[in-house]
Amino acid sequence: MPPTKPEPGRDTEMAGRTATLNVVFALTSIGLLFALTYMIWDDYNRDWKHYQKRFNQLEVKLTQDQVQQALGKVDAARRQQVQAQLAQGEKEIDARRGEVKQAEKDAAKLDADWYRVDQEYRFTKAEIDVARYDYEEAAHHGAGSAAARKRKLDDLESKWQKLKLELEDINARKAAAAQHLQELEKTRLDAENTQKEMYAEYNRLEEKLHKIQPGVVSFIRNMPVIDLANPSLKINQIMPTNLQDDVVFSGTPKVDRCTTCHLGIDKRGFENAPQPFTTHPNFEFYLQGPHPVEKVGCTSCHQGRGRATSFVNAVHTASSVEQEKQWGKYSGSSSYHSLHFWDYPMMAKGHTEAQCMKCHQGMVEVPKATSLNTGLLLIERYGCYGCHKIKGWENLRKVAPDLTRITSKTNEEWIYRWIKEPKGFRPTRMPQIWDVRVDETPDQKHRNDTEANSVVAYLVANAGAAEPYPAPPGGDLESGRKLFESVGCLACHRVGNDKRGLNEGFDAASFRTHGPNLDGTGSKVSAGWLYAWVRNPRGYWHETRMPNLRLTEKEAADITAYLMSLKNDAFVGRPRAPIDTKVRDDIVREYMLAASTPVRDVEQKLAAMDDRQRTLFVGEKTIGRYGCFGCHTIKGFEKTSPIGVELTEEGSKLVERLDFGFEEGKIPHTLPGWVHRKLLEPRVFDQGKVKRPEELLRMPKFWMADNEADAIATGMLSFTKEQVPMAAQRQLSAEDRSVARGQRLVREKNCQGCHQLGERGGAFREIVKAQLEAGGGDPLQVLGLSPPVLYNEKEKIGEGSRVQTAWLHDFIKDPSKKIRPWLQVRMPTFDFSEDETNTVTHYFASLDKVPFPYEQKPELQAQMVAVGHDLFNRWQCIKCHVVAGRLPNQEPAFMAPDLANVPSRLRAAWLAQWLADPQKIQPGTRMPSNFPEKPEENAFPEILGGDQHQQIEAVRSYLLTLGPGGPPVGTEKAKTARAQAAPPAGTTAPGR
Amino acid sequence: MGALNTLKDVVNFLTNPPIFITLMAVTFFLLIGRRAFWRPRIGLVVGVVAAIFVALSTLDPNFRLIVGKPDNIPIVAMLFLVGFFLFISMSQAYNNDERIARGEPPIEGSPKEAEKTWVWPDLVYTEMLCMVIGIIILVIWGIVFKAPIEEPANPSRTPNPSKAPWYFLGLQEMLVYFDPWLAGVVLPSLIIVGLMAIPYLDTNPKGNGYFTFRERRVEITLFLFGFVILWVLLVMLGTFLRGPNWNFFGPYEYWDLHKLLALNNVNLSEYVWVKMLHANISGMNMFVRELPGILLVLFYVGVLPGLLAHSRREVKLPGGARVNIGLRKYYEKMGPWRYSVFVMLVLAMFSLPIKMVLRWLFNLKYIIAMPEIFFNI
Repeated sequence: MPPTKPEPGRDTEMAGRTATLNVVFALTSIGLLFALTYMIWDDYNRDWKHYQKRFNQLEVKLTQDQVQQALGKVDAARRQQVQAQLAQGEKEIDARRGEVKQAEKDAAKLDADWYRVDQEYRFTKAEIDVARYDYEEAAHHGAGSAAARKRKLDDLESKWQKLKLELEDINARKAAAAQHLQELEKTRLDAENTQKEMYAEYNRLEEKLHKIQPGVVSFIRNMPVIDLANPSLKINQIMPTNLQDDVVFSGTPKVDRCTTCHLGIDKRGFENAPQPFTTHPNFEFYLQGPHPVEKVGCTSCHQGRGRATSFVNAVHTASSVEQEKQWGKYSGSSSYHSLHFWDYPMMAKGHTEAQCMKCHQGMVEVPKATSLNTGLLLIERYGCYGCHKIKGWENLRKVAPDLTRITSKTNEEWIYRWIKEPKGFRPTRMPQIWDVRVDETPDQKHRNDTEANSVVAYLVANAGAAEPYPAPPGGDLESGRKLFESVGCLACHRVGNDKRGLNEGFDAASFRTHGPNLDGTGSKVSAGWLYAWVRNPRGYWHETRMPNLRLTEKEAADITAYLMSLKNDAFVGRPRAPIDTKVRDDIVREYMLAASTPVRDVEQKLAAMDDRQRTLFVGEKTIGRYGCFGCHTIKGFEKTSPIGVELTEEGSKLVERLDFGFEEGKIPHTLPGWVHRKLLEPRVFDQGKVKRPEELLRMPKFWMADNEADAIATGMLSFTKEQVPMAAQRQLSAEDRSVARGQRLVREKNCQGCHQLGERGGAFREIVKAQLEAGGGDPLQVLGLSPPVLYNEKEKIGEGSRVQTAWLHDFIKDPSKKIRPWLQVRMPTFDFSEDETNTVTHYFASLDKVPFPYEQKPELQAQMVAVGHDLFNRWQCIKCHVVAGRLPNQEPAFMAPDLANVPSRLRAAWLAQWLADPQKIQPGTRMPSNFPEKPEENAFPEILGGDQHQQIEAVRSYLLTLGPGGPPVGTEKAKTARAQAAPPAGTTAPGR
Repeated sequence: MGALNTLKDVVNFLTNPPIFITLMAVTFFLLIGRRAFWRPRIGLVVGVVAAIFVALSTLDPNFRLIVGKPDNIPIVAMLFLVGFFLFISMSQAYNNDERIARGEPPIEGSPKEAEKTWVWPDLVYTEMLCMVIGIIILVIWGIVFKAPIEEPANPSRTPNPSKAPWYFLGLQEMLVYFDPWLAGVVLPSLIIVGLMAIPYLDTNPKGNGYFTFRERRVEITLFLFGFVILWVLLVMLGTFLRGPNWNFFGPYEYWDLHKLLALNNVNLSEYVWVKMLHANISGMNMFVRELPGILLVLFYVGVLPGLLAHSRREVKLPGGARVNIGLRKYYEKMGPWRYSVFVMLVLAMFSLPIKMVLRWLFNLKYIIAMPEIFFNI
């Protein structure tokens, strides 16, 4: 038998323990209550709610101000008038109180009737549907109940018809009653409507204010737990279609919750509000216009983690060390640590444009993305792709001159000093290879001298003997200078620190720095070479981008004389350190060992080499190591692969893969921060590390400006591996593609050095302007004396719609037949291949979306031609226009192109547009607008009734009959036109 | 500041695996037999000292970074819990031993304890309180330490260090010394099989239902060595002291991705053929080449059990404890079959510390290295 257990109540020890447990229970209950409260509070207390509350205060304040403004706008006199009218209305109603009351009562009664009948009417309709279905089913199955069902259906139908009549009757009475009431209260209603209209803005704002103003209701709505229903503080999110976040194994739909805190981003009025409430700085373009926020989202451009609702989790990226310090508070550390688990950190301020590229692929320039475009241009200009492979950039020509014939151009002494410090000679994009470490030791410098000497030896030895260039005919320095400054050289070249027409802050990305700065040319090249070069650049270097300006012997000699006078004697006079043979031999050993030559063989091999061989060996190895062949063609390095890191996906590089060396903490711990530092001090990450010479970093120093490095970082960040779905990308049409091809050529040939094309270009105009100002000329003549604008961005019209493809083709092939013979600046001969010519002509046609290559010619009517001729004479067109080569008696700036070329050169459609409003197409042109829109303003209202279109048509018809050698042959009509339009244009000119 | 840094350097030095594991193992054997040590008061002191050490160390940013990781918090707690239960059970065991020596029954066997077990409301009440406290702890923990969510999984970019779940870190540490098939398959299986086999191997009825040390000295020592030193300690090592590239980092060291350690380890065959005999091992038949190792292993698993069964030598340790090196007593007690299983398990367990010592002292990589057939020991 088991022992009987004592009852708990009777066991005193047990009772004591229970009492203790009760106390413990009480305490743990309180603890649990605390824990659960803490849990709810922690879940409730989110950063974004505080932001939303703060924004709410701002918005309430702004709306209150707006309400006051709206109230202030209401005219006081009108307000009084309305008040009086209201009072009057009340009085009128009071006077007929009984009548009004009765009318109101009637209306109410009718409303009640209507409600009742309408309900029954609708119910009956539903019943009919049921009855019809029942009958149809029964009839189909041949059931006996079919007849009964049919009767029921008919009954319902007739009931429904009756109700319909009744309803219509009630409606008519209702309308009458309302009309009656309205008539009785007319004065008051009118006043009320006026008032409503007057206070529309005010009321709208008041309503908004009421909605956003915090109060008891919103307080309750936002209370913990209750806020699960419909809180006023809530996470906002944008879910753009077609876009995904890449999470390695799959894509998840993009969800951007940025607007949870960035509440003012899509609202006007918060331009000066503190972050995160500021209005987007480019609101129209990025949130509404071509990039609507609901389609594009935020993180497509800005990157970062869109789903996050806290500062750190959204992976904000600091743009400077100071900002990292400031943001430390967000990550709870002295310096900001961003979330490194997300592979797409937010773009640091100033670099966002890098993201444009992934959707705007295949474009040479992304419209409006200035810093991206500048960055990409700089990457191209500095020739980064020479050492760093970038997919899509492989086929670009080497950025710097061919060195295989260098001995014919300059001499060894100059080369040595140049490669040691290019910037010491003149402003240049050639980087400095030696003496650019931050911690360069005297030993290293000594070694550098030896390396540079060896490189010079190698270059000279591999360039063959100097070719003899005969001395040029004697030229006149002064007229050479004038010619140099006017014929067009300055569109691509500059001398010294000439800042005219440069891209502000970005010298290297300017049209005028397309070619080298020509300062010091006299100290660099021989006169014979220079003379031959300016006459035919391709003769020396087939790949040069320098076009042929068709200089005569005299002109070339003058320009040579001028350029040879630009000297930099101090540079040439710099001392040149000799080769230290001991150091050189050490370097030879180093390279041999690095190439796994057995240690024992090294000395033997070295001994077998003579002095010159050793130097050339070091020269070759040094060129190979520093990658000079990336930019220059050098014999012996034709097939060598580039030395740098591939940059194709550099923009996606994770920050943890970057070696910050001992720069950690001195620069932002971000990819752009690192790139920026790398560009400014390419070898700084070596500092403090123990490395063998061949392990040292070798990127040369470009002496870049801060903003250049920033722009290049932006350009480089655009090289990403991110794949945007095709549907979300900007699709290029066939026209866009030919525009892009053309743009590439335009950039390569630097057309914009002379011509304005879109928003950019026409740098040469600045030269003309400066010359005019210096010579006391009229600055308004600038446009007339400069190369023409080829595309007007504002009106979207340009060379494509102006000239015929065939003419453009011929002109580009041979521009010597000038349109404006009086201009000093020349369109050079580019020696385009047929393919390139096609690209150019197609480019202009595509830009303007005009037919390519040929278009329909309009039919000419003899009568119109005659009228046109009359107008032509009345307007005295030939006062300014050349006709068939005869120059008008005008100053060059006022002269206008030869009209005899019109039929073969201009497109007919353009001609009409041009005659209607020349200023629109080419602002600043001297061509007057002779054909106003309104007939009453027309100077010759009697001709064709002063109709703009008719008159233009007439003049155009006449112009299209002109020609250099006589009347255009062709249709019978044209012949008659010609006959009637006599005397011919050519004969009108003399005497004028 | 200088003194503090020196102190940190000393700690960093002492936590180096060879020193740390050896120190802990020696301490373990020195203390396990000391009655004076296993008292709640001492346990409290040890716990408090450890807590103060951890608390003060958190002032160091690198220490804080590792210990404060949400993943690692439970392991810190586990270390204290292991210590707590160790002291409780050991002091209870020694108390019982003293009672038994006095001729009294163990505490668990005293009539008072044996007769009275209050279920209602006492036990149920206590269990409910435990649940409540458990919930409180979990809730607060869940709030204060955020879930350690990392980057989207990416097979081409694994985290460095790649760490197993904390309870497998002991196994992962074994991978430093053994080939994966041994450290990842054979040894873990043997642990499970061995634990399952204990009731069949250890038929000693003493200690059933009560704590005792004296009556089961070897069994407890053996088990605790396996559990505390070869499991818990390795888990701790793997968690706190193994950083990027599985390199060792002292508790105050920054986990630098670029830290380099030379791993110049040598196989036994290289020791014998290359270093001692200056022979050419390339092209040598692998069985000939690995003969020394094969013989050694065969000796360890084939001959050693027999020798041990034969001998009854007793060794006196410096701490005063006596360890029976020979296992004749066990052979006689267990019979050949159970003895074989037992000795194989023990040898397998000791293969880990043996291999560790060989690695630390001689940079020994493998005793048998036959990469040709993926067989390395």
